[in-house]
Amino acid sequence: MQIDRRGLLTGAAGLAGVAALAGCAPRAERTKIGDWPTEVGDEPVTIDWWSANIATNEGGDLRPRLIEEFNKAYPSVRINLVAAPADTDTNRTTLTTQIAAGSQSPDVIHGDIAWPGQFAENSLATPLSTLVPDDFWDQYPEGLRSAASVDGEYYMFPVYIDNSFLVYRQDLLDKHGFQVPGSWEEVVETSKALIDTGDVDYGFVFQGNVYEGMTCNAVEFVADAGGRFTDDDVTESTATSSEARRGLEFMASLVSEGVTPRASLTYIEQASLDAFTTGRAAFLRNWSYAYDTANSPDASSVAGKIGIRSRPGFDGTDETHTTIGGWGSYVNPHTAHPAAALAWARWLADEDAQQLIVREGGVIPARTASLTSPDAKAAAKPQYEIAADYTLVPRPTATAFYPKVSQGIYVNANSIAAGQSAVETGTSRMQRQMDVALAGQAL
Amino acid sequence: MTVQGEAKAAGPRAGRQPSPGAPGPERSARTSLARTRNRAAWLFASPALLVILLVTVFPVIYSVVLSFARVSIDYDGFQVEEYTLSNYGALLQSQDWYRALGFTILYTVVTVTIELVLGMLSALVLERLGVTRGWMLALLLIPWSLVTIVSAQLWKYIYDSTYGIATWGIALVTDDPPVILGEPVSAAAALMVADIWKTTPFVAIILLAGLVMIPDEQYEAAELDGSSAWSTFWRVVMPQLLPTFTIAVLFRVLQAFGVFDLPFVLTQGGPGTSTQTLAIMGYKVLFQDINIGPGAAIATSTALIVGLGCLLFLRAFRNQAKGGE
Repeated sequence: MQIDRRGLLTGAAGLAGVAALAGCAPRAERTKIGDWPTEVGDEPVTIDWWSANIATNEGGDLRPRLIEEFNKAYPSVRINLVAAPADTDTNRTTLTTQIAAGSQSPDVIHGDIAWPGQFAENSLATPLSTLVPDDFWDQYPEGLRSAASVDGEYYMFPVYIDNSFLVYRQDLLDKHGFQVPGSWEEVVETSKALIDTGDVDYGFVFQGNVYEGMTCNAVEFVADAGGRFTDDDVTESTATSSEARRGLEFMASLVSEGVTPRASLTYIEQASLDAFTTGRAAFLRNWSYAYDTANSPDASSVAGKIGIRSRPGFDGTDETHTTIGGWGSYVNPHTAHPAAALAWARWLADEDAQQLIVREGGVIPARTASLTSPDAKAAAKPQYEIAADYTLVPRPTATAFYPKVSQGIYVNANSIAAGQSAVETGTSRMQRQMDVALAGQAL
Repeated sequence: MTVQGEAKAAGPRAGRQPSPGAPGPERSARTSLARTRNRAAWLFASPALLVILLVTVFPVIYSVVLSFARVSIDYDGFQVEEYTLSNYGALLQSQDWYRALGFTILYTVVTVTIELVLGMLSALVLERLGVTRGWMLALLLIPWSLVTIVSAQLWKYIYDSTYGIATWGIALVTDDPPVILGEPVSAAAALMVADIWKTTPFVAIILLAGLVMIPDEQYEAAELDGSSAWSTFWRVVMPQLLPTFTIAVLFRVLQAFGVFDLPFVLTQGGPGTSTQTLAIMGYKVLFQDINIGPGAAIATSTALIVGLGCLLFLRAFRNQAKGGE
């Protein structure tokens, strides 16, 4: 056969075309999820667990302990820990194409509570209703159940929830004779006074970067002002409501009045924690683990000098708000070891793992009974007591377009807080972008 | 490119034709030999070509196909629901896309221009260095040889709003610590500085290669004619350096237009979307939002725009080079 340039190129183009068509074609039908085996056999099997760090109460890594305990109950299942990026957006982005392309690995994903909407829409997580009994879900609080499900179908086993708290420098308050602030107005006043003493550079720091953490902060400030970012059905934005504007206006005033440094608008969790643990900031809004880390002498120069309370509200309100943060387990629908993957994901959400989280974890267990168990009382964690009184505010995650909706919130909230947009124009733009996103028309 | 290169390599031998008046048997033997050689050349080249086909040609074609598709993902994998122009329509209606395009062009023009000026100055100095040239080259190459993700992370520490040395230095002068990566203008400038720091040595080395090719006699002749250094540079050096210069510009434009790693580490496209390049936008649309069709449309249109830009540039420079002859 004559092989010349034209022949080779024609063949190549043909091959590429065939490959392209093959890529477009649906794959052969697989075992239906409803038919998956749920009993783990004696055959040794290894599954990949994709997970970022889960903090212990001393700022360490709880993951090896969880695996160790699981193996006591399931010796035949080996868990291969795959270290995932800590940043939730990078974490999700790294995963989505892999699973969408049909990868069998990772088998179990430790993922954010904000993901079910997008994962359900794009078939990136296994629907769980047929695989576990209905009453399994009763052990979790209502807010968490609704976050883990989409249209009545569960996609995530809750592992831990997270609330945000206000951590403060008790030593400085005592030194200068201040009370622990009971409202945002008092946080502002005390911050200014403490900056004036020269003991701290910054008053209050939070996560204001252009990312999901800013959405959490914005949702909380708006809730403090009595508002929400969307209607109850998460179909329309309400970002221009007077409550939303008041919440964001307050956030911007923190920066413009010098209570919050402009640097805070580039902070993600760790950067804000660093500003606090090195003694530069008097008040910090952060998740549950931050208090434990800031109180650990190995990781903090202010250990033993700090206190914690709920995020306050505005003057005249007793209600305090936190977004529901938290992480859970998703099962890869393409896993080659469904029974083992299911067993591990379910075990993490069930009593044994949850009690271990209570005893050794730096996070709040998802199971209601674990939060009030004798172990929890023995742990004597202030976070647990505060969590019991919090009003949980969901982010508008119950939409397949949540990442884009959240982007509409955090980009504009950052711009408003930085003073680059006035509150009126910033919220109008936010509402427009959110509505386009909610309609599924955002690019 | 390689396919053509291989064809050319095989060409002179394969294309060698017998003269019209050659006797029959000899002609036939020569043709047969040429065919055998031709076949062997393609056969030897085919493994490499196949690899290129799989890792370059196929993804490019597939990406173009996807840019015209409405894709859904279900438990059985990817499904193309229909072929449509709506992905490009969405692009043309998106303010974010225009903003990203504008920023990418600005970024490319500013960084490439400054890199060419600094690179040319460095190359002129390097050319005059004697024994130390090798050492200086090695030193210069350090930024270029660093993996961009690593150097970007280093720059992130430098720009850090709490502990960064740049923040500290500016605060010494202005008494007001800036948030370098938190303001649109300074964030864009910070990205450009990091890019220029890393890539100027690359430009300098390419231009140096061109400079050393210029014969010494031409400098001497210019000197004898009483030409000033300035005039020698523009009338002797630049015209002969133009082909090398063009290559440097092309390499840099292609790289700068597709910049991803620097903004990914330093700003994620922020604050807001002010430093969002087309590549960052494509990544977000494709991987964060799992919006496959529009994401592929961003990638395809970016390639098209930069390809057209380079063609226009080549044409303009070819004319200029001819004009200089």
